[in-house]
Parts: sequence; structure tokens; C-alpha cells
Amino acid sequence: MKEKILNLELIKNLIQIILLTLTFSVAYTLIVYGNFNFIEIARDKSNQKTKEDIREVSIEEAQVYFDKAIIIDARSEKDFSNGHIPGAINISVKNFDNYIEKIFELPQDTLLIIYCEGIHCNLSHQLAERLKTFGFKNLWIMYEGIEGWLKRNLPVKR
Amino acid sequence: MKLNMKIILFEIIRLILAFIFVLSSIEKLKDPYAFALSVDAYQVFPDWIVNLSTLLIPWLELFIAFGLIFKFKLRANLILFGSLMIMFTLLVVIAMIKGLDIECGCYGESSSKVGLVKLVENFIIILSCLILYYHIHVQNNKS
Repeated sequence: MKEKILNLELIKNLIQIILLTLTFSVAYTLIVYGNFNFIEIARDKSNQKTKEDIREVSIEEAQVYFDKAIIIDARSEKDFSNGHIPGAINISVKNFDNYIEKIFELPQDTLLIIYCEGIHCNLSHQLAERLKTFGFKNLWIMYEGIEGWLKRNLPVKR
Repeated sequence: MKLNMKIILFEIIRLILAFIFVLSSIEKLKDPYAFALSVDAYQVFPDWIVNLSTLLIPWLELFIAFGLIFKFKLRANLILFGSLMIMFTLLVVIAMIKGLDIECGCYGESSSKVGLVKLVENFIIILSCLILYYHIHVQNNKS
């Protein structure tokens, strides 16, 4: 007899696998982490790490220091050329090694204001962490990124 | 001889698919918080779905991989494999439409960015899964 592509036995197996996974993952998480609220803890950890020595600032606060600071776009070269904050330079964290020479040219005591896409983007944090290892201490993250910039109808350079 | 080659090829596909999920699940289990942030970065799900995904997906991937390696409930595991891959691919498409500059979160720290390359990679994996499923279905009918 020809077997159907999806039959009752198969559905039973699917349910068994899902239930087994659910039981195992719940037990493991309870024993190891004791908490199911991963995202809340992850956000807290991420904020804590940033707060240690990298400051997060709003666009308005950052703008006050624009003439004294170097503005860095942490996004890819493609995104940078599609539109960036006027005066910003590009250090794509994904191709960080290509920018080493440029990084050595940056004055260590100058304020660096870093941004990426928006509040969910992690590239500015990654770049700030890497720049920290090069001895830069004055690092700010403009957390609303280019999305926040565009929302305020501020100019972009293409 | 020709048949043997075909069987060997299907066995290799099965093991490659299993390897992909073993790698993916271990990376996620190593740092569930980083995985939660990766899921959240897609800006699609409420927090409770992000938490549920972080809880379930790595273990589901690991169990599916074991199922594929030890040929345990093979067809059911392939269906789950394909469903997860389709879901991941849809998320990549959504991220691309939204123009998000994010990592896919597929293999923990060594994840690549969402984009066309990731999309093609996922399509190849889904296609391999479909071919393997069809092969097993035909084999079952023969026996």
C-alpha cells in the first residue's frame, strides 16, 4: 500500500519530538538559568556592559558636541554610501581590519560619537568595544542611530 | 554501482544537514542571551516569543540533528528541519525588506549578516532537505 506524504503516524512523531524538546529545554533552563526571561536579562547585561565605560546619548545631546567630536558610522560601506550623517566617517565594524590605518590616525583624546542603524542595532556597541582596545576612552554611542536622525528630518549626505 | 552512489550521496546530505543543526544549536546554547538579542534584532516578535524561541529552538535543532544522525523518526525530523529553515528564511526576507543591518544569529558569534548570500544558502539547505525527504518517502513506498 502506498504511504501518504503526511500521515497520522508522522503527525504523532512530530508531536512527540516537540514535546520531548519542550520538556528537556524547560528542565535544562530551570536548572541552569532558573529564569525564562532571556531577553530582559540580555538587555540588562548589554546595558550594564555599555554603562561601564561607554556612554549612550540621544541625538540632541550628541549634536551639542558635533563640532568637537568625530562622528563615526559603524554600518557597512554600502549603507554608509546610501546616506549618512554629514561629516561622519565610516568604520564598518564588519570589515574592521580594513580600517586599522584610519583608526591609528584618529586622535586618542577626541570624543568619538558612534552610530549605526537604530536602537536594535548592535554595530555601534561592537565598534566601541573594539575601539576601546585601541586605547580610545572618550566613546559615545548615539543609540537612536540613523533611523532617529531621519525621523527628525535632519539632513543626510549621500 | 549507480544506485550505491545515489545512496551515498543521500547519506552525505543527511549528515551535512545534521552537522548544520549541531553547529547552530551548540553556538546558541553557549550564549542564549546573545541569541535572544539576535532574535529581538529582527524587530518582529514580542518579548514572550523571543523568550520561547530562545528556550526551544536550540534544543529543537539539537534533537533534530540527533534524529538525522541516528535515523530516528527521520521523516518527522526532516519536516521539522524544513519548517525551521523556512521560518528562518522568512525572517531573513523580512529583515531585508525592512533594510535591517543585522546578523542572522544562525551560528552565534560566527553568524553572517542577513542578505542575499544568506537567502541563497538557506534555499540550498531547504532544497536538500526536500530532496532527502522525497527520497525517503519513495524508499518507504518501495519497501
